[in-house]
Amino acid sequence: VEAADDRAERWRSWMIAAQRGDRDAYQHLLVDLLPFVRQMVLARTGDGAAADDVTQEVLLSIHSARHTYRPERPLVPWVRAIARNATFDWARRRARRREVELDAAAEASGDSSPQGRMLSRGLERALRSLPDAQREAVVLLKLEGLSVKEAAARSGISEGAVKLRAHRGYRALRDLIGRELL
Amino acid sequence: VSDPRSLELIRELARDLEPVRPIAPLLRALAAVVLVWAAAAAAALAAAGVQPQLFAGLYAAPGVAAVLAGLAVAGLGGLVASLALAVPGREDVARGGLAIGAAGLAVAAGIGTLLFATSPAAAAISRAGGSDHLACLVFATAVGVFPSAGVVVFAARAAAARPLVLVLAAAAGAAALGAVAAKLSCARADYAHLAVGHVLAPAVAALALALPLLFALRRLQRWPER
Repeated sequence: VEAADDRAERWRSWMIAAQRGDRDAYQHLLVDLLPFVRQMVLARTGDGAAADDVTQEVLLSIHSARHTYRPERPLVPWVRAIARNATFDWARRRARRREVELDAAAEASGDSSPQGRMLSRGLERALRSLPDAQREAVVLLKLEGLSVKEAAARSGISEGAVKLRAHRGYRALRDLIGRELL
Repeated sequence: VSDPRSLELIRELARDLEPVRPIAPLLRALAAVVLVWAAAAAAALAAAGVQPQLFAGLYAAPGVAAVLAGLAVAGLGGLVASLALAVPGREDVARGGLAIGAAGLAVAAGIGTLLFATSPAAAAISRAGGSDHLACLVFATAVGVFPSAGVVVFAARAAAARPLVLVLAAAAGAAALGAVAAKLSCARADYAHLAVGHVLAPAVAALALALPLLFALRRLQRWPER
């Protein structure tokens, strides 16, 4: 069995290489981290499907926050903190889901009640407040129903970039809609 | 067995990888923010003037020096906590900063209250002075705007997980240091003014600055994608 210290040191060196742009080291790091992260997330969510979703969010967060890792610091606490934050966000979203589902139901039913109109306007405002790149990704994937590949072709960017922008857009929308409902 | 969607995502993330420059170490970020505070305080003091009897007054009333020391500790603790809250994995530093900041504030508030409550009325309230209180509160808050904005710039580049706590700690901490600077130009020696014009400054600044700082943080976080 590989010592935890050796593994941590290997991850750290891969991360340092990834910060310099080494794609192979980055892929090795993320593949190696995957079971570690999933196990940590599963222990907190207790749900396999949710754990897979949250694990992907952790991977995206690691990607977008990779510049916040300081090479002289150990990597494992940094990854743990990102996973913990993603799991907290998931738990908060789950608690809020019922309210957001009411919002979606009002949207879908074309609810013309004052509350329904207020919720529709809230969603519209939230969408409008997103940065252009995120709004485009959300609209293409969720409102126009395109696949990631089609959305990437339409926007002229890679599929990974579409996913990253959509992920950030969903997260911002959840925050904004949650705030509208409070 | 790993989820195939996760493996696909990893391939895409690796394919799009660009080199990044790691953020500044916390100590360097703190030094920069403290420098910003020093520059803002120096500019404000140059405009308002320094109280010539300050050191004689502090010598005569060591309780006042203890209140100012508590505010300084609260300020540094708040700034350390807010910077650490922006970096994943530094939660222990953030918790420590918050604890030290709260302790400093408790010392300042406790001693300030004690001085006010146990002093003769003439020393406690030498004269009514709402405008003096307000002037010191505004001084402390205005000086605090710059370092707390510095914290927000750092946090926007990093990965703030608890933005509201972060901006509250930044605003309160920066204003606590601002309240210390305000005392250098403050001519009032009574304890009522010390409590209202200086010890209250972190709370006032946190209320006044939290929302604008939060708004700025959100805007700056989105800015690179526009």
